Amino acid sequence: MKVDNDVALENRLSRVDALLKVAGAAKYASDQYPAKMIYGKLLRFPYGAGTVKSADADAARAVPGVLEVEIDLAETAKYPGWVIGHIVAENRAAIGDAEEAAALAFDATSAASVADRQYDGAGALDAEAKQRVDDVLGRSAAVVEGTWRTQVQTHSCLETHGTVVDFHGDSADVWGNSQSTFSMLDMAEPLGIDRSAVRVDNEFVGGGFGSKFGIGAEGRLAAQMSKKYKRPCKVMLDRREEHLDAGNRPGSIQYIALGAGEDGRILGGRIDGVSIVGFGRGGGGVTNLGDKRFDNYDLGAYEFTQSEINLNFSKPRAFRAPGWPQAVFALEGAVDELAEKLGIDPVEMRRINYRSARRHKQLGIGAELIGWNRRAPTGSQTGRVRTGFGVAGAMWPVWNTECGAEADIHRTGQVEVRVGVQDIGTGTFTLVTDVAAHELGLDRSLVRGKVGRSSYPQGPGSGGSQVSRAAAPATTHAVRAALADLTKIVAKEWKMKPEDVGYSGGVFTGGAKTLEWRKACALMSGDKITASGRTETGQEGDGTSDCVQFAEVEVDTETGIVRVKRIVAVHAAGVIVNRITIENQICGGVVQGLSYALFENVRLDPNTGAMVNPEFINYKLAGPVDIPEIVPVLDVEEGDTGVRPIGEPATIPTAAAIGNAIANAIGARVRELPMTPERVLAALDTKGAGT
Amino acid sequence: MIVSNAVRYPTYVPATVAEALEQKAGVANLLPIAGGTEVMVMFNEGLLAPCPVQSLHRLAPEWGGIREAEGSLVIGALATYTDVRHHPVVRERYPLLVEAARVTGALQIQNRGTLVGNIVNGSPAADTVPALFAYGAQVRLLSTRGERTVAVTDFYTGYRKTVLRADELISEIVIPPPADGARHYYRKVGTRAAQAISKVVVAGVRGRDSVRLAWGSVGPTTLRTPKTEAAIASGADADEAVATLATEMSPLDDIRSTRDYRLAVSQNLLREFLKRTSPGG
Ligand SMILES: Cc1cc2nc3c(=O)[nH]c(=O)nc-3n(C[C@H](O)[C@H](O)[C@H](O)COP(=O)(O)OP(=O)(O)OC[C@H]3O[C@@H](n4cnc5c(N)ncnc54)[C@H](O)[C@@H]3O)c2cc1C
Repeated sequence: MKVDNDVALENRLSRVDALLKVAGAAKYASDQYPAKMIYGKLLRFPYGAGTVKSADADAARAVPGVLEVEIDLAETAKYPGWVIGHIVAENRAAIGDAEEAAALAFDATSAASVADRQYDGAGALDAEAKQRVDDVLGRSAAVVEGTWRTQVQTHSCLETHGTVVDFHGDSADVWGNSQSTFSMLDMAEPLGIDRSAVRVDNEFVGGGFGSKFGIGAEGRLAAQMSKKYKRPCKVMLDRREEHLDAGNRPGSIQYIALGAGEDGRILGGRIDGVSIVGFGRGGGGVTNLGDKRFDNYDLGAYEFTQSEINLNFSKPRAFRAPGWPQAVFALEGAVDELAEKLGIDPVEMRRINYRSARRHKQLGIGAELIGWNRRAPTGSQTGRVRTGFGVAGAMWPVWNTECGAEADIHRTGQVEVRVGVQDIGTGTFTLVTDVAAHELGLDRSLVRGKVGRSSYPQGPGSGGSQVSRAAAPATTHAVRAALADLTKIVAKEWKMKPEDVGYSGGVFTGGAKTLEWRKACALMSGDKITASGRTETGQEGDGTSDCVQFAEVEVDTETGIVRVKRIVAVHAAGVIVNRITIENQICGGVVQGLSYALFENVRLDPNTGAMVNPEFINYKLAGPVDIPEIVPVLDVEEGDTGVRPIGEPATIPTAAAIGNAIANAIGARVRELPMTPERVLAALDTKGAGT
Repeated sequence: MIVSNAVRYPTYVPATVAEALEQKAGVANLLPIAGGTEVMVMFNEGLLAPCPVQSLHRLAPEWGGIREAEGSLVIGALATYTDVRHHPVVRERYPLLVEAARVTGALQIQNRGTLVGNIVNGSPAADTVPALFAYGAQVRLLSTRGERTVAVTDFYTGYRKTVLRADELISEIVIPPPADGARHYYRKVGTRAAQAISKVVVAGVRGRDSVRLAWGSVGPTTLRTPKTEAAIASGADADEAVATLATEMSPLDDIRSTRDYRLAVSQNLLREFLKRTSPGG
């Protein structure tokens, strides 16, 4: 059964959990205080590498309220935040006192903290490949060659990672904040019980962005301590730990040499992408550039090479479109530079080279809305504050995943739908509720969507922007199955065949008879009817989530400060369920992209390897005043199937569009993120066009 | 860091100024709290070593207001940024204070934080201090031994060092009236549009034949640039003034910015100051 377009039901109602969240009634893992709970805390090495020189574990154990102190003197730490032990206590204050009493002293050894010290240019090509590159650049009318750099960015989830585990001997309750309800069942391993004996409550999650899969070191400690002390145990990371060891987007150094013909068509060249990946692999690198399936552009004949630089920093984790924002920042910047050299308008340049017809159309929509015709020629302005316009595009592949759902219709007329997938702030509660209400033609107040518990039918984790796409049709199937059962009851009452009973908008019809929803429900002999539904892999069609974003910026040439005035974000949206949640995803992606473009940056001390800004005072996120007017445009076409991924593509092109707008305003390009006032002034200076 | 243990911070709440001064003289390491926007951040971060604290909030009747006395403006120790922003006399005659208060933190901080709290720790990035320097403010210090008044420019002796003695509290800041017809200029350059510590901050007042310029975040303390002031007062043009500035300012690299950036922006802001305050302009 194919249900794609059947879930079309666009509405503008506010989120079903909005009131719970603003009133503080939504209980997150950190809000759980089961009776007799104890607290655990991981101890961490502060520098890039080294060992614990000395520690007074006994003094720490002597602090009143402390249950356990473990410090591993043999451990060789390999990045700041490396776990070197833990403290367990009756309350948090005792943990603080114990940490102080432990008087940890460290031996720091030399650590790799500066990527550029390990970078010596793009990797060598073999003679043939080099010849191919030289040939294509040789016959190009314009060539751009340069090195782009992007920083390491941390996920900075509002709610830090953390778990509460209550072990009961042969079963356990787990309160988590995971991007995958069902990955929390991995708790079974440290608890030594069966997966089916773990009950996960993962209802409210304060952001994840790719960093919250699996149980983590914090979950493992909570499990071990709950088991050991036979009491509930909570371990929440603090903000410092969150920056240090809860995931990050790898940095990059990207060398690009591209040539284009007189007509603007890109002929080819080379791209060498180096990912700055910390202590282990992961996080996507900039590898997507080399994957032809994901090509933003028709890049002609090009050589792609990639490698990694390892720093003494924690392992990257997938981060909202892993690998993409960094790759698109560099590539879209290079294409803009080519356009500039050829005297071709950047929008036109993209029309010539984007593969996707959809994106060609989006370019027109975005250009009109941003007022592209107001764009002055690059570098032509002379005032103190200069305005610039930029554009960039991206796409996101569509994944199709199995997902289950269960629906109850109660005698009272109430409907409940359960899907085990999680709502990490994306609006899954709302989606499930609205799909069910629409399918039954009932008012939303009669329907309750429930997500985020392992006792509900299984569905995918929140990765790859696939949850809404999978949960919407699964919900439809479950609700339809329950409705079919209710229809049978009505048919029996009317002594008709179920096929002869119709249903629409809360009313059953059969011949001349009609029966309103609640009265039909009252015919049930039991309290409720329960039915389930599911979607299978590859069932719901495909397509891609193409998008383009346009930026308007103002650059103050006296201070180098960039103010983004407006972002127009045009996104292929597929079937729209709830307009507020989808627009919210786009705006959130833009805000995170803007923050990446201008502010966020993990700074490591080149001497000690410590992270110098593991907080929000010097690790700057965009604040409310930095956020411009954002215009989300949902591009829906006849024939679009299913709910399209939106969470990830929304953040991909933002930094690139802002970078291109800055270059247009000041006639000089900043090829490194974040585009700080220092870098903007330096770029202006190099151009010799300061104030 | 772990949340600090509140039990280790015994709290004193004086009801009168006299009582406050007695406590300050008698209790070792007693830490006053006004708005608490600095102290509580340190506490939450676990960076505040256990110590006795003194909450000044009950002194508001004596120290809360902003008033005029003998032509000067008197800002009490418990006057907040919000008080400063809304006071009619401040708005009319001391635009640098209004602007400094406006760009400090955000509304929540402005409702709690005090001007006096901003000057105590000698942070070179404190945003109101350049304004106070430019206006030639005086700081009134009280103890059981008596009262003394120090020019704000003499209050700081080095990076985060001041002349404040262990038994003293600041009761008020006194600011003389700016010259009639003086032109005022204030600009904060931060790491983002709001809630950001300054990379460079400047306050300037230009009268008919006098110039006062004060800079924050470009040295170990807030500083004035007397050579540049003198050059401008004696008619130097913008290029000369900017060149002079470079001879008496040597900012440092830190997490928020670089030496080069700070110097370049200071020079750009000086040009802007000259343009905006030029007598003919
Ligand atoms: C989110 C945030 C944003 C901020 N943004 C800015 C900003 O943009 N610019 C800026 O300059 N600052 C900023 N600050 C710092 C702070 O808000 C200001 O310095 C504020 O003025 C401090 O005043 P307070 O009354 O809150 O001080 P408190 O925290 O109460 O005290 C600060 C210090 O002053 C001492 N003290 C207070 N009153 C007296 C007194 N009468 N006599 C002697 N000592 C006294 C205290 O003992 C303490 O050492 C920010 C702080 C936060 C938390």
